[in-house]
Amino acid sequence: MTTTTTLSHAKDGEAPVFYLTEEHDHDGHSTVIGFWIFLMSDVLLFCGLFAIYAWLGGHYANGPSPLDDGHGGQLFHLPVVAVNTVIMLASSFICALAMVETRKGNVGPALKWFGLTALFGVAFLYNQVTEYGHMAEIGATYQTSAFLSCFITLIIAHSFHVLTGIVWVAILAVQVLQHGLNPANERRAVCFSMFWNFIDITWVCVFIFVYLMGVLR
Amino acid sequence: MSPDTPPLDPIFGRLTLDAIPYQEPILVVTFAVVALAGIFAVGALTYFRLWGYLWREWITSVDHKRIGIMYIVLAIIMLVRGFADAIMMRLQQAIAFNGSEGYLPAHHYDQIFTAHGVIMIFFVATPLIVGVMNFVIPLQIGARDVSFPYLNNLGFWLTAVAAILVNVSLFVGEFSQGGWVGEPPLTGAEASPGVGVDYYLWALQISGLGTIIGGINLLATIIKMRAPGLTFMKLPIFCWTSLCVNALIVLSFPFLTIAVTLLTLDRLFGTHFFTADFGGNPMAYVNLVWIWGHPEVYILILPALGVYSEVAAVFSGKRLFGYTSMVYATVSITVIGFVVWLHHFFTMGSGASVNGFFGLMTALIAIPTGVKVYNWLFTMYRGRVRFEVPMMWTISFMLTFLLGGLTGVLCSIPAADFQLHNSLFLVGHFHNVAIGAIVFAMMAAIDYWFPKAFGFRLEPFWGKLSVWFWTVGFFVAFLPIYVAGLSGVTRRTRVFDDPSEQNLQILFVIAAIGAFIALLGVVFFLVQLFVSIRNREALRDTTGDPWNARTLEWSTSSPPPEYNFAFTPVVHDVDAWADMKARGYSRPSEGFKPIHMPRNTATGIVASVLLLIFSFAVIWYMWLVAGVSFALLLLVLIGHTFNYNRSFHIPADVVARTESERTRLLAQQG
Amino acid sequence: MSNDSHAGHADAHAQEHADVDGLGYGSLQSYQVGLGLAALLSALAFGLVAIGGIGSIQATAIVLLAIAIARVVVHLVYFLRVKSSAEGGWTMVTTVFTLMVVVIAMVGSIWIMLHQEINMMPAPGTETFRGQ
Repeated sequence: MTTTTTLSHAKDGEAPVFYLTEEHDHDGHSTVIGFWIFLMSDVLLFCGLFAIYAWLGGHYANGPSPLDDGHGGQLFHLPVVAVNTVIMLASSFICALAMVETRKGNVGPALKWFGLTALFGVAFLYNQVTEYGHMAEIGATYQTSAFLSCFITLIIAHSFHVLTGIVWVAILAVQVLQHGLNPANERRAVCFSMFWNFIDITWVCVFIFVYLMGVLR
Repeated sequence: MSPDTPPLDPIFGRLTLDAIPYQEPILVVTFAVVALAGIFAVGALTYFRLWGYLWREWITSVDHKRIGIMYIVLAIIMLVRGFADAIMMRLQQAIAFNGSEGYLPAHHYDQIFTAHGVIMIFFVATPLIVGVMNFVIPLQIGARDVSFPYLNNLGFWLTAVAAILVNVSLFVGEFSQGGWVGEPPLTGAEASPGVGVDYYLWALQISGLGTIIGGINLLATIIKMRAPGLTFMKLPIFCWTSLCVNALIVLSFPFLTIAVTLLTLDRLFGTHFFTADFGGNPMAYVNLVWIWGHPEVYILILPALGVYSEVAAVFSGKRLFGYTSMVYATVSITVIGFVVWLHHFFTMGSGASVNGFFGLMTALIAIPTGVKVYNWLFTMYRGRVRFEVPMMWTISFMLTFLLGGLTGVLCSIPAADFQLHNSLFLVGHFHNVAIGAIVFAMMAAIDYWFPKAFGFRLEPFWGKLSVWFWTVGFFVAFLPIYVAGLSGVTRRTRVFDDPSEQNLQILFVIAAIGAFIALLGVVFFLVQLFVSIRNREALRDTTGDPWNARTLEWSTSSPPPEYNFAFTPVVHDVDAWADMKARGYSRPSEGFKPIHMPRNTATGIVASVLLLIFSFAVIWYMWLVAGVSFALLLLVLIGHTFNYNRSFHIPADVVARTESERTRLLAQQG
Repeated sequence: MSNDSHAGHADAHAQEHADVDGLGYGSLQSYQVGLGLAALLSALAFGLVAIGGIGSIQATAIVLLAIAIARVVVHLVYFLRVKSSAEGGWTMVTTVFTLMVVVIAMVGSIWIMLHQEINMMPAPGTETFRGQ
């Protein structure tokens, strides 16, 4: 609100300007900063989960631990984690490409890249579900120990964000097809890309602090 | 959730007729009174055909002024409930000596002290400050509305349904017996298998969500919607404290969300976060909840300090003393407020070095607080102090808060805290700051901004009585509590065996008398509202500036038009309105433009009610209802994003008509 | 959130860009640099663990921590374009405050927990840092 185009002058000509005579349309001008602040509170949500993981993550209660699943194998499968890391990073980059097209106003290419972003998200979720299905099979569930409670809750919280992102981008695609890339939809695309990048950042913390540091112990 | 429980009813879950406490006379009478009042209210609304008005002008409104007023109304209703709990506790403790069991069974008494804490913090103090911030901030920064009007409405309704959930627990099932922060293992599935803790957890979860949404909204509003020229070092102090408060909300409430969620998971799905077995650790909950809990204390107190700053300056007829130091003090309190949380559990066993650090940080926070007190004193010094009701609250606060602050510093010393922890001394301390700072400030705020909100002043006579009875009642109630605490009486005790022969009963009798004196303070406040509404024509204010005030909200009419300001103000000085008055501001009377405003929406209340049904269903394990209501909730929220038609323009001639009406009223003044 | 007021779509479009510039939007080049750096850092982290770490567990953990911080910073700078000029510096301010609280909460919690476990002698099998 710092730009003032026309200022009114009081009658005597000496008194300073106390009001604007023009109306400015501030539609959606707070959306980006507001969404950013929301993301910051989401960061702290994950911070809480990481704090509880730091506290209880080593409490295996004689159950499975990252290096020993109780059946002669490892609980953490780093190759899967590496694949997921690549998927996440690639989807971030694809989302960035979608934003480049969005900026140019190219609806078709933008939707194509957004669709691919969601597809990578689905692949990531598929990997996660298989991985935790496998854990459940060998009896490593969230009821087994404090370690697994923290670990699985953290993973579910992250996967839930990925799922939200996929649903979001699907809805956004419908809305872009309905109304084109109008300012409102463009703001939503910007917010989505921030959200998707945030998911990737969270995954970085998950794979380094939970998986990689987990197998160090 | 143990395997030997009988199968659940597919629709009603574990809700049976036994859950209705019809065998408890106190609750039956309460229910009868509430039901009668409800029937009366519904009847009156129908008779006067007010439903449509209520729906269009209030319930679905996105006007920040309306939402702010609704927050405050909610808080006042809940204050009555919370105060009733307080009176019941005081009576029980005054009676239950020398073999007497008192009149409350343990199951009931434990619910009362939990409900009292939860209601007073989450549904009285929080809605009061959020309501006042909502009403005042956009007016003080010269804005038309908040950044996200729809989220504002949603945030209010989330808070409101959370309050409803707490009150439902009174008549269906039970409430938590685990104290207001609900620390496990007492609140775990084994020790508290009933629905009480679930009510508590879902009420906190929903109101926390509402508060975060409100916090994001107001933060974005202060950042993005300030009037031209209103730089940060010209921002009114109330806006500064609100800025810090909303930052605190956004930064700390996620930790409450996590703590509450994890405890819910423990209870619902058998995880092992806070259980005593399988590697869980209840202390992890205490740690998480206080990372939120201490900033929460400052969330409640900083807006109060902001209100006092506004009131002290206006009623001393002077610019606030030490504006810059006030800003820095506020910011330091915000930051230091994040590194003191361990002082709530010095006795947990983290050892000398940890306790020493957090104790030091706690004592440190007294310095910026002291700076503020001196600033108010120097603001009054050599000012023309007008002893109107808001100013009387402020002076009463300074005396009360001084005592509360000093006992706080006592508690901050870890060695002393080992004696004071969980004693009534602590109860005395936090009521001293909570009542002395928050309640008094909100009373001052209501008295101060009421003419702005409704166009007529509050009757000062009953207001002054309210000040005196609250203040005297507070001291009579809590000084004996301090003494009892120093003598070693622990908090939340229901029945006293007094083997020391000290005869502590007299202390509790005095405290109960004090509680009744303070109750008169509440009653006189309600009488003040009633009398003022009846005499509103005599108390009418047409100037828009009844106090000769200094900030921007007083430059517009009372009550302000829907669009707040016909023209966006331009700010040159800290006290923008005082500056405008001093330098010959003349009100524009022509050249009005159409004004762009947000459109009302019903999504907020519909979504909140669905969430209420969902949470009630989960509490009672009605999985079918829960599933359906959750699906509907998602549908409503997603459906709302397909609505692109969210704003409209107020035509220029409507603005011109409203403004010329004001011109006519001002001219009548002469 | 209306679109009715934006009849001149192209003009409105150009103006919107100015409003949201900095966040969400970056140049293709910055995205490519970000992708390269992020891939490199991730590979480094996995490689470090694959070779069994360097020296002690503590040293490896510190290096991993440094990589994590660097990776997050790369993401913030090259993908999210957080900088002091975007949104009048407010994204920067909020990010700094948030990270401050993250550090306080994490370091504080771990510190409190470690001292508690030393003082309170936890049941066998529930020490947080076993084998250290």
